[in-house]
Amino acid sequence: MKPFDVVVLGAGPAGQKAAICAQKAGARALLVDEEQRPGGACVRHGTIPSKTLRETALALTAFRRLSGGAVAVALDSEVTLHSLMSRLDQVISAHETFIDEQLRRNQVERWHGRARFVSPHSVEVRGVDGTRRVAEGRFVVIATGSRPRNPPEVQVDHEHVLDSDSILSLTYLPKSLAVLGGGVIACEYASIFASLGVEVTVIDRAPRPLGFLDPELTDCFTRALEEAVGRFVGGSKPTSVVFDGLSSVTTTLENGVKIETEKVLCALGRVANVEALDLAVAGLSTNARGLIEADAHCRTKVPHIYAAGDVIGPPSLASTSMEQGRRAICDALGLPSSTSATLIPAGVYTIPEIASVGIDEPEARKKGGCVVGRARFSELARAQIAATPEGLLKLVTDAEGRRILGVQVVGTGAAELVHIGQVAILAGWPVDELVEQIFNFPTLAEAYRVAALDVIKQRSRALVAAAG
Amino acid sequence: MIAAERKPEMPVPAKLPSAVTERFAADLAAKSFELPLLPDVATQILAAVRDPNADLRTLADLVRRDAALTSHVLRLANSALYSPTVRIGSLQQAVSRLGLKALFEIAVVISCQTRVFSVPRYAERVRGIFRRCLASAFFAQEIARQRRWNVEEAFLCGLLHEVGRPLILSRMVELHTACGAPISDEAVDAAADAYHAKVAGDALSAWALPAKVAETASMHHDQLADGTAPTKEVAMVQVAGALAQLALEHPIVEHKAPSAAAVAAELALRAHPALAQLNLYVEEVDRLLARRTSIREAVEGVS
Repeated sequence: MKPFDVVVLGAGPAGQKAAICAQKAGARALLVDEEQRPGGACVRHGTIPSKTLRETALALTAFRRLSGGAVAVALDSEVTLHSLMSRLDQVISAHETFIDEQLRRNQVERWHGRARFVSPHSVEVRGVDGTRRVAEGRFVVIATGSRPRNPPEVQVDHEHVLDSDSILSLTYLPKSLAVLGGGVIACEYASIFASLGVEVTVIDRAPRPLGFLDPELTDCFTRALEEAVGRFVGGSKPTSVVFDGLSSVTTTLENGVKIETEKVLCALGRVANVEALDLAVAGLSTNARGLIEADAHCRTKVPHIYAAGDVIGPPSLASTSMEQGRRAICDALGLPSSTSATLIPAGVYTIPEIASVGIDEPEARKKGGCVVGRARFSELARAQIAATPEGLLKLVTDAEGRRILGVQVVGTGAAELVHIGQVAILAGWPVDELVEQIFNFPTLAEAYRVAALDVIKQRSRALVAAAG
Repeated sequence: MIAAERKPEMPVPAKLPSAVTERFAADLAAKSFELPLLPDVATQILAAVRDPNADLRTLADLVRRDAALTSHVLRLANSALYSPTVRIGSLQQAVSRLGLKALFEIAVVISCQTRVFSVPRYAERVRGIFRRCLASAFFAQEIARQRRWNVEEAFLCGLLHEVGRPLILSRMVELHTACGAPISDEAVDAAADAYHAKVAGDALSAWALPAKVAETASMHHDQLADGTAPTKEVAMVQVAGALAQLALEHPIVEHKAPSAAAVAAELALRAHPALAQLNLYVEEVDRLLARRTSIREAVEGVS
């Protein structure tokens, strides 16, 4: 068989984009995946299913808020998760069909099977029926994704103790749920279930959830969780998780505290899907965290092999993975690669959602100081109309209060709102531009104007103080 | 429901006496095959499953009221399926080991066994069907675990997919009595083969179980034009059924090479078309096959 220019392992966000980018550049790409349809965990277990459930949860909470209490919305205790996600099959199928068509349109050849290296340039692909074939590639992109990490002290049985792949297979909403972990997946599921009326306890060894984000934002998440029926137990490590054989799971913490819940969600990180690849045959290995090391261009230590997406570790966002897939191909095929994509926004779909781009206040202070403008959603007409006054936009500028360094948002629409800040940073707009431009009224985007005015006000005060 | 390519409606097997044929056809048209109600104990256990205040003692008391259930709970709690490290003698301990959901499953199993899978005239045949169904239920659970589907629903899909057969056998006995006409075993089998899926689907719809359970039972032999099963649950039950048959008919005997028939049966299983639909690779099939002995023992413990 004629060798391929690029063999891409894994059809998740990184793999799809790598294969399409290669074909668009005139190269011949093969895309290998162990599932029948493309999309990866993102479509089957991750982003798409959880966000579908989240939309239902948001609609319910919005109805409660917007009706001003005139209409009581309570979920029937017998309500099934499946009925809450009745659109899920349709959403997944639509997404898979879209990806299918995109791959077909770009004439990407696809093989269904499990791959392993048989030489640095060749992989053997074993089909579900056991048939084997070998593909040779001038370049190889490893984008096989990740799966939930289940530590030995937590026996995940997918019935009482679940992981993020099986949590949505629950038939009924549990009365209570312990969520182990304080990362993105843990917090997203915690807020979804809490807003659906489940008593949620988030347990994490870190003192606060979502530790990579500005604490001012994560405090909003914690408050919202507590206002629902949840709580965050920080600085605690579970030492055992045991189903009592009756109706509850007991999570014992290092300090001896026992937390009893009907179900447990183990969301203690993810591990890269690399074991079956026989990386050593290709001259590769994993680091102490089980990840493949790669540079900014997704190059591994073997010159013709690239790695993208979850296999190289955080941030493990679908958006980042897609960019990494493209970047790997650009480097391999000598295509020009945009540098602007170094500014990657992060979106966390908690309730309320959180988003960030550029650097945040703690980091800016470490780097020499900053001026921070704040816009509270309670000051925005649109937020009041939508009955979502809990929210905050932070505009982080340099110490002179002129150059925008970063934007962080918590509240309704945060993941969309942050893109205005992203464009402003990329365009090199001074803070003042955000005041001079006209935004629609009433919109949440007005928060940029409010925050910019706050920066200018502080800048003026500083000038007056300096002059005086 | 997904439209599958069904076999055209078959007439009631001609080998049945005409009086029987007429009444059986009327029963089919009227969907008058009904499952008996769940016994009280199963209903109460089901209620306890949803009661946050239920405690072990209450549960053990509920189980104790039913002698058949008590003995089965103890036997199952001691079976390899639940990997006991010490022999369990107390009912409370057994209830604790099995868990509430498993207890409900056992209650359903026992009520099925004693009320549905109980046709004295065809005792052996019905016992065989029950054993296959129970083993299918355990294998369906394992497949669901691997695919990250709902484990409880999978169990019920496996357990009840063939429930139409005993219902038809039972009705044949009644019709024989009512019509006074002899019915050959061949004719009974032909009627059960032709209609058990339809009868199961109709009957289960009335038992307030998840809709998927009735749908799967009604379609468990169906295939789409491309040869695949109409739903993932049907594919799961088809594979679970094949695994159950292998586990029950070809038990693994320690220190003894498998028979040629066992080897052939395993090869046939590994070539089952629904495996590809479930995306079960060799590794996953190996893991399922590794459960053969423990699942067989669990079935022996109950049936």
